[in-house]
Amino acid sequence: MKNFVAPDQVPLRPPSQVMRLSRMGSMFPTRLSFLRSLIRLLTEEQVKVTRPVWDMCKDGFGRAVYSMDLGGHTYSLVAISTDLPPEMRTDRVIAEAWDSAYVLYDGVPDLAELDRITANAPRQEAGRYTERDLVLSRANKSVRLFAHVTECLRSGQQPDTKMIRDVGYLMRTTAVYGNGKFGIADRSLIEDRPGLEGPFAAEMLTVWLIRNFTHDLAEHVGGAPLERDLKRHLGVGNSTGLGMAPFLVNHPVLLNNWMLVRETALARVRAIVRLDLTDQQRLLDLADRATLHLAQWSVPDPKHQSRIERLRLDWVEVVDMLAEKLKQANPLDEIIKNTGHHSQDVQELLVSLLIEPFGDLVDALAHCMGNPIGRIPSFVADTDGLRKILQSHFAWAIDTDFTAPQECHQFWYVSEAKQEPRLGERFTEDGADLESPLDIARRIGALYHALPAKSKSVAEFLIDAPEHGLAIERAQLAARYPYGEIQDNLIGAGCLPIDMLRCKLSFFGASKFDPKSDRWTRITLCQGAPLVDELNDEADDWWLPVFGS
Amino acid sequence: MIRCSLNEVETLLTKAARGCGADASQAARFGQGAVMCLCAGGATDTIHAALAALPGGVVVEYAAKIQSGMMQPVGSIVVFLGDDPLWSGYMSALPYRTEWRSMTECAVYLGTFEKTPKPVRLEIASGDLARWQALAARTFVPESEQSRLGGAGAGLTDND
Repeated sequence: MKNFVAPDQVPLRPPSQVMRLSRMGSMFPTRLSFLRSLIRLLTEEQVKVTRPVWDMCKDGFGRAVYSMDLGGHTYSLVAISTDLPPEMRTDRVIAEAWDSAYVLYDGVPDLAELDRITANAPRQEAGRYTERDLVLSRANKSVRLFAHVTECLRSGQQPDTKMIRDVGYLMRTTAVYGNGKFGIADRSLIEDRPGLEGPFAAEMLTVWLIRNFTHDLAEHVGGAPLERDLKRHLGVGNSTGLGMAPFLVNHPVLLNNWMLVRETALARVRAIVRLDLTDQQRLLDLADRATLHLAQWSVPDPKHQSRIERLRLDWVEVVDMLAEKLKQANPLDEIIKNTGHHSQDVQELLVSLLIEPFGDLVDALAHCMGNPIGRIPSFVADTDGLRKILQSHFAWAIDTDFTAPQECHQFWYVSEAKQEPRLGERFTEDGADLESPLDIARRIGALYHALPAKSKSVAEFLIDAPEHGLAIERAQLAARYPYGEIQDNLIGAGCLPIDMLRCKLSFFGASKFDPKSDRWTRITLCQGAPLVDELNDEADDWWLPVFGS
Repeated sequence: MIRCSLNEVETLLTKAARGCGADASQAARFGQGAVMCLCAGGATDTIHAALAALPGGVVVEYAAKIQSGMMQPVGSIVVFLGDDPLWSGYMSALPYRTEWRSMTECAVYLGTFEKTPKPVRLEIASGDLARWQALAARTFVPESEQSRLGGAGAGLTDND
């Protein structure tokens, strides 16, 4: 048995730097993002996707099944395409009908199971599911691109490359549900299965298979094949809103593990003493790819577009600097140190770039991104001990004056209609009395000021003041999970939920963030990812997809 | 009876506990413990009674009891005493190896992480689910027009 020697690494960037909302809202996908890890695994396993059912009318309505073996299990994507009147098409969570619905099924469905899924999946939340249904999803067409692509194919032409580049997907999902929602399988049923043990692995597998279905559907309706390069650039769109934001607050161990792995990866590559010429060239090529990616990333929102434009300009400076620095000693550490004056957008793009060529150093870290055990707090005996923790880990929270209106301007709640997370304005909207407990900073502050002058046991304190239970729990988690807490006031006037969304989506592997407000965004997943018949040696090279020149 | 996922039931009971006035962490622990209680064949009446006692009741004592017991060093075996099914659920929900030495003595092996085996599904009477749903609904807020206009997908032509 070989002895495992951990690679060298420089000190990690501290949580006080990394866990700020604005930096989290500047993150880019990395080779450790879940989709990238999944595709590498599918490639290693030489997964073959088959299509045992394709029961589709000429207009593309019907059902299909895709099956594949992974880690000793067979999984199938059941796709149902329906004729949706335009007036019913909406990406809102309040929608009740969609162009297509999907279930990732455990096994290969027989006819009875296929009929059951066909009856339920198009109804989404109103349907009922079983433990054989692992993931539930739905997607709407990008009507203009789907129509353009199919019309072109029908007339014997390939679609316009500019349009493919500008839109980037034939369909966009509006929900991808896992972990027991509406009766589907609990995550605990699959968390030990090879290939699905990583965070959101089943959901990412579903998205990759959905993308394949959208290609097949367009080719079926168009009656001709799409060129391979065009297909590869067609990912899956996604509309994501506040429903995703509380996850990062409610799962501090996962957040810690995701961030810690990413920071450890960066610390490892920063410890490289010398780069050989191949690695130098690879980094320069990837930096050029990033330049092209930025050039191809345009969004309608003027504020975000100006941020992208600033990033494009700053990136040119970074690329100029790279060529020289890469030849020097401790090159990647020096590069990080020399870009501290740049925007967080530049810094985080650089992090993503520097990690990319060094799979041998970092890829195994992806196995540490789950949470197979649960929360293990570092229990503290007395209130003096709690005070010390709060002072050392939560200084960012305890000095805030939460009686000031701007520090408690917003409140999170669960909507009555769809039971989805929402964000309200405390002083103009009703419902603050039913606030969801995402106000961690305020709770920490309240706990700090409630701690008694004379120390007592935490258990005694808890009996007298159970309302501080959540803050005590977070304090006791902080020592073990230093990257588990967003170090910002999530109810303050300055809190932008879009930053939380971008952080989480970048871990999924999303690119081309297209914020529509500070509360929701469109993104693209799987753009540039290998097609189902391209799981070969080149399959992992799709960081920051670009198209043409 | 409705065949439910465990996460569905846990989420619902967590919300129901909050609807009954439990603090957020108590509610979360209640959800975990109550599901494990049901997994072990506990009666839903136990859950109804515990919910009715919130925000006080045994659940508050459980939190303090666990807090105080867990102060032992890693590697210790801590013996907790308790004999009601909900308490057993709380013990089973801990991420440590547990061993019932008698009907009332549960040994927890600190530092030995182990998950209690769980069934694939829980069968819950629709009446019970409806009661819990009603309690959970106490925490829901009617969405304002302002909020609705800011949600995902808002403000766009969807047929683009």
